[in-house]
Amino acid sequence: MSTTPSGAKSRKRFKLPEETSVLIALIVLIGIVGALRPTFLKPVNLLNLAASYAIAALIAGCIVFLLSMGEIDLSFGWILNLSAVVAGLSMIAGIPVWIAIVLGIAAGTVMGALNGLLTVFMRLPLIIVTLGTASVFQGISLISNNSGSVVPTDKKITEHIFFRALGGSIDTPVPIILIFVLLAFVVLHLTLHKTRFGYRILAIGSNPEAARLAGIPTKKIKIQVCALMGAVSGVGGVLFLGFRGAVDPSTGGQMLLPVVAAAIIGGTPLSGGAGTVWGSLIGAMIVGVIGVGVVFIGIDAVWGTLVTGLVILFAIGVDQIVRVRKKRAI
Amino acid sequence: MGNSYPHGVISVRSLSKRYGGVQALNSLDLDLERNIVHAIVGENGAGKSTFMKILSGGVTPDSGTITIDEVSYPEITVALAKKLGIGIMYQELRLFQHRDVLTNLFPDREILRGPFINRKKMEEIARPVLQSIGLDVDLYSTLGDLAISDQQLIELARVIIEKPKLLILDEPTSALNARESDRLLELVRQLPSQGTTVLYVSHRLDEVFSVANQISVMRNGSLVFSRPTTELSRADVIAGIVGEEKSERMNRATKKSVGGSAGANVLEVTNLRNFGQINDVSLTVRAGEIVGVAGLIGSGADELLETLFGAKEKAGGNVIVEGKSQRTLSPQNSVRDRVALVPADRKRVGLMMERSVSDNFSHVAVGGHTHGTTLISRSGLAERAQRLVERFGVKTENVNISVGNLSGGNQQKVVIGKWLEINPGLVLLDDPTRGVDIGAKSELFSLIREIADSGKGVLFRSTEIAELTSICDRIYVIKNGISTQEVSDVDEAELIKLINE
Repeated sequence: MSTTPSGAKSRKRFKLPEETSVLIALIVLIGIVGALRPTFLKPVNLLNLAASYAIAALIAGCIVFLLSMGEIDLSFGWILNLSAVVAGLSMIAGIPVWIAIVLGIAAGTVMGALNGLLTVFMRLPLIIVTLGTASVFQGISLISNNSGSVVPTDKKITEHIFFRALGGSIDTPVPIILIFVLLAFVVLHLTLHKTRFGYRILAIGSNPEAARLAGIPTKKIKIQVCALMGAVSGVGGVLFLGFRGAVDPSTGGQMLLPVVAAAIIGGTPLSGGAGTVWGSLIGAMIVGVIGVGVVFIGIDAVWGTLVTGLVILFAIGVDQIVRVRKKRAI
Repeated sequence: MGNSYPHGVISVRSLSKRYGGVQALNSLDLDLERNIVHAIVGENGAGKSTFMKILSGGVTPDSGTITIDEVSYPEITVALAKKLGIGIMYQELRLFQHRDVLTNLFPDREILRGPFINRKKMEEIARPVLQSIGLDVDLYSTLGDLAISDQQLIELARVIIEKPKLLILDEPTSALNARESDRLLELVRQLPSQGTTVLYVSHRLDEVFSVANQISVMRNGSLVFSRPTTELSRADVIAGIVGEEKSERMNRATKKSVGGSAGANVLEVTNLRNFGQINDVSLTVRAGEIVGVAGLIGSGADELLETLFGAKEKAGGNVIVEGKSQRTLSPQNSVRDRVALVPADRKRVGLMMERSVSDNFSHVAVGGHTHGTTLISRSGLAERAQRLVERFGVKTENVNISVGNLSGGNQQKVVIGKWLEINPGLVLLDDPTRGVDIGAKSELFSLIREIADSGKGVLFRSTEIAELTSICDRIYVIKNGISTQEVSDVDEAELIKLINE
């Protein structure tokens, strides 16, 4: 008996993190595009690419929470849109910029919490609930500005430090939005893997009924994760407003594919019970490299979506093969 | 066709099968005489399932031969099994929950008239078969709406309709109550006279002795012995299953604690009702006691522990845990008040099967509990798991492998361990030995006794009467949702009589 602990320890070998394979895939992709068009490898290009996919990456990092819980949110693009609209209209109405930002994020949180409440009390999967709420949020966004763009033009707003920092008027070696998103990823990763909250999310995703019987407040956690998803989408909306300086009615509408693709390519299964936050960051960059790389190489941009689709299928396929092999080995 | 070899034999010679590092079948030699009921017993992992799967075409052996009707085969494919008339009824139900009974009775072999399904003809065939097993259900009702016991009988009917020459039954009574089991056993006894050889696999020795003409005992992938039932006693069979040294240990482990005076009440239940089968249950559990709950399936005994824990809603009555009256019962409140439930359906609701042993041990301490820091670390979880693995003697390579890879008994130790980690005052054990082999059972029993000796109250429900009589200090009998009487020091036969009255 006494030999067991030491025996177990000696068997502990250095193991590569599970994100390694995705990271290699990213490097290979960058290498391919770089080999064909060396200018692609200029740091400024790579940083710009990363910055323009930073918001999608941020949301992918949070949707990992939902996927780990065995749920998926289809409405986050429109939460992002409406949050940005709320923040933008507030600024135009003369509310101080920082307060308008808080209002935008709060609006996102409320929308997310609403998704959570509906899914818990109607006992429906989140995917069904958000199929409906997505259009509701989009509708409110369209009504609130008469299907027009929200563009704060007042100098007092556009000269604000928030817009100058995100918009690139302040020179930093690394775009500020990237620094912010990286910090957010550290927080998201620690939350999912190093807190009781994260443990409960994974436990629910792994076996909801067993989680309930272990005394985990499953309903509360579901609502909280949905609210978190809303809050992060709200942050995404506010970042978008600062980054681009405007919100138009279609903002957020095209985000579903890149965000979910980033999480899945990163290695988070749709079945729940497992998830990798860092993987989703790398996944988002893969989606970005494909989207931008296709243009760089000179292929028509229309092909970007097709290639992304093929990469998703490839990633899921490899993942499944590895899984089946593992099972056989047992 | 069935009469061409009335006394033919199915012979198996040096049959071997290896899964990774595990030798599931180790050069098995066995002769199965035609037209009798042949029982196979053995612990989980003895190789019974592998042998059955090879016979029914699910698994290809590594080496050896199977001789049927004087023809030798190196392996039996699914198609060949069908041709030879080999039918199998699995322990797990493999039915289509959303379709009706009739469709389930003819899976992928619907009777056709032209391109159309001839349901009338199917009904004509199905009715007498259902009648023979005493099952009275509407052929057009949706299968998922039926009781589990009825579903199990439908699974049996599905196989019998094919009129197999060799019928393999794997734990056919696991979801049946005593009356239904008796009816099924009666049916099985008649099958040989209709030209069907039965291979009967079960953990329940009473059944095996009542139904089988011949008993074969397997251990570690080989045959221990195969003899006519009339030449065997229960003790012989148990000794064969567990091996000599172990069988003695089991007797010792199940002995009751003597002279241990029970302490204060940890659980007082009066007039408990729920929205299901429980109408009026009253009972008490004192610290240091193992209290049994006996009752047929459907009597309410099977819902009692889940209701007390709060997993099923209660409709009325008082529940007092350690002197504290519980207004609302819920799993969260139970964790708060240190009440543990080891659920009956371990695989479905007890564990996170694909997650690690380490994660599972923290299920309650980190997930359900609200004490302690909200920050966790992988090494913290692993340390807890390592400590519990050693304390409960869980056999696992390390704490990072999926809990689904462990054997049933070791999985159950993980469930018990994850609850004992929050030091519960009351432990509810709902059929904890289900799907656990005899060797692991005796270990679980000594563990349960240890739990009680450490001053906790234990409420223990089991579907195996012998378990209740051997380990419990007192037993409550539940009938029609009512706790009718409290007994102690009864033997198996008496208790069976009491719950069936």
